[in-house]
Amino acid sequence: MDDRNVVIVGSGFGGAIPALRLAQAGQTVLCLEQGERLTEKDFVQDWSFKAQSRLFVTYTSKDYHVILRYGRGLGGGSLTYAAAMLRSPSEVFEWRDRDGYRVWPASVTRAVMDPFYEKVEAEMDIVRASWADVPRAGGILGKMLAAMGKTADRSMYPIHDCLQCGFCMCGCPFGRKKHLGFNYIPRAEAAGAEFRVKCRVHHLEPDGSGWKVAYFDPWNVQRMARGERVVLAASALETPGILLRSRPWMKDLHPQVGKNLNQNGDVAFLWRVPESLAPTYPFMGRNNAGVITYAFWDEHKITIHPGAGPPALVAAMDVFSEKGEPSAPMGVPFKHYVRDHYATHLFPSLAIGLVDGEGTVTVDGNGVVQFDLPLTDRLKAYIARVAGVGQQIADANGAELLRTAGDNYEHGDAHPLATCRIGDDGERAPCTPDGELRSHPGVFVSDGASVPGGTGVNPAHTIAANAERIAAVLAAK
Amino acid sequence: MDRRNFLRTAGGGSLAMILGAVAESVARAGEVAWVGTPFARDPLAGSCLLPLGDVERTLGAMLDTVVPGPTTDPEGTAGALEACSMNILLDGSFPFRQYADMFALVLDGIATDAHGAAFADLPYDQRLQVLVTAQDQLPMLRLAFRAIRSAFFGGAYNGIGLRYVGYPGPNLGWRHVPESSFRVAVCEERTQTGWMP
Ligand SMILES: Cc1cc2nc3c(=O)[nH]c(=O)nc-3n(C[C@H](O)[C@H](O)[C@H](O)COP(=O)(O)OP(=O)(O)OC[C@H]3O[C@@H](n4cnc5c(N)ncnc54)[C@H](O)[C@@H]3O)c2cc1C
Ligand code: SF4
Repeated sequence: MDDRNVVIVGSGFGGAIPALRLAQAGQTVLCLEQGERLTEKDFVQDWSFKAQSRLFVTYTSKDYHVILRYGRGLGGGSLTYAAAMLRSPSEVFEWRDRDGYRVWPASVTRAVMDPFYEKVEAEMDIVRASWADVPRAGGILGKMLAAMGKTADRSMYPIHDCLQCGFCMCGCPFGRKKHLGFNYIPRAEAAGAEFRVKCRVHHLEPDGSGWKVAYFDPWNVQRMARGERVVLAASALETPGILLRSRPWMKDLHPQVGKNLNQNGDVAFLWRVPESLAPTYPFMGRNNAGVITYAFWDEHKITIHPGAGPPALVAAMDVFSEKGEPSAPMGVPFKHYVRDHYATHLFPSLAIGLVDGEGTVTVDGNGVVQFDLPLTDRLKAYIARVAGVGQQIADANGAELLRTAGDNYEHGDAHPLATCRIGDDGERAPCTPDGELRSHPGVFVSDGASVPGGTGVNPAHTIAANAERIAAVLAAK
Repeated sequence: MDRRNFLRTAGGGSLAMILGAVAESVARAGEVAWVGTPFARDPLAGSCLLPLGDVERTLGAMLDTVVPGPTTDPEGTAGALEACSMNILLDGSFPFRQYADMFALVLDGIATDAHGAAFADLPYDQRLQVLVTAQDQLPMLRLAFRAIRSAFFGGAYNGIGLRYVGYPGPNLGWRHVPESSFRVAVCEERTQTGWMP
């Protein structure tokens, strides 16, 4: 049995970052990753389900309304994310939930996080997009906001010399997107960390002063690795899954594990632009289309960024037009509408904002992860607020915000958080501010599961900076 | 810009534009290597699965209503069936296979109650009404419809839907295409850094 100072589960932001820092601190590190080691040569410009299912794990909520997915492979979500790396505004760290509970620990403020954000920016070489890097769809949103006297800011990315091919979410085949396989992972390997791919962790068992990690190796043989400490970083969906599967061995597991699932306030829209702003060409350019607006942050605590992407992204949405056809997202009018508008008049956008996480991750009898993200009154009210902002932008520009059944829009998809959150209150938060599982010392959580609430912007940078912060504590131990 | 103009300038097009971009990219110091891509597949090469037994007609009619094919779309273009979107319902890697029979039962039930005939025997307009009603009764159907649409428009099994919407597909980058970006500031920015304090 392998015996290391630290066994890390998952190699996304939450895993690769502690791997580097702990190896640099002289600790022996083994990182187990269920996905493959992928490089640019493995990334194909292909949106087919077959290609996508190699890159993503997708779950549907128990009521079939919401889809959540995460990227798999050495480097986790960094391989196939759209690569916007944004610091969360200060107010995110001060946010209080419906009970007045401050979800971030009082000791973690934006000022405390800034040095950790800086570390990530330095390691990943994060730069601001130039206006020439802003794809047309992003420019159109910028123009729509300018017409209202509002602002939009160019975003930050670890992308250099982007060719604007529009396939970031298939993995960049040109090596322009600097995922974790370009920086943290090779540096961790150089410092002595071992990454073992195609190894799926099933559960943890206590072992004296340490922990045994039970996993299936690439040949599906069950093996054990032992760590004095274990760092869980398998994503906000899988980290609680591993812990919940460990219940037979982890008595008195904290009851909040798997609770508070937050979809980061994601609400996706589709806009149809007027002739004066056409064509949109949503297939041209990086998938996170270059800008983000903070213009509605002060009043609503939401940000909006445009997307670019394949027709599936547009057509899968349950949208219809209030102004006539299509009156349902199916049938002849819908088919013709997508054909006549996709390339020239439509572009998708995503609003992100602060709303309480009221979802739950559980495991079924076979230990398979399931989740629920109920459309609570609070979530409905939030979605209505977001839609109101979208409508305001549309109205000011002669554009149309396409509607969805019940005006529920698409909430969810890519940003699950908070299912094993850090926090000050031992009853509400399974993990201490330093990421240690309260009920089981020696087990740490450093991925999106530990981020205790919405991040106000795309979450990867905050997940990464929080992992740097937790890794610094672990390295000092 | 309407679709015809789009196709003229970009799509019709689109091959010329891609080749142009390729030529430009390559000309610029061979910046990128060509990537082999499965988009080169013959658009009709995907193998379409078909359900067995009585449900085949009902599910076929369902697909043909969600994204109508040549017999239903007055323009006669291919739809979900031709794009092999039935695979979504039958391939075990999606959550629908075990519900396929139930989908057929529900649709036939609503169709018979409302219109006195099996779903597959109804005219297109009535089939559409049945689907709109059915998705409210069975939320899983709404998800199935989304999956069927994205399989067609997203080229899940073949390129028919992608070509239909004029999606140009794999490319060596649009960076050098003038329309790909406005390239100049289009609005005021709130921050100096790209993120809020
Ligand atoms: C399509 C898409 C686009 C996105 N774009 C952006 C963006 O532009 N900006 C942004 O900020 N965020 C973006 N995100 C979100 C971002 O990718 C995630 O928030 C981030 O990757 C989460 O980091 P993590 O460390 O929590 O987990 P992940 O990065 O998801 O890593 C978890 C890793 O653990 C592995 N794993 C899971 N279970 C096990 C197990 N049992 N055993 C072993 N290994 C396991 C997984 O294979 C995976 O590699 C996007 C997400 C998606 C899906
Ligand atoms: S748009 Fe840029 S970063 Fe994205 S895949 Fe293409 S070249 Fe890579």
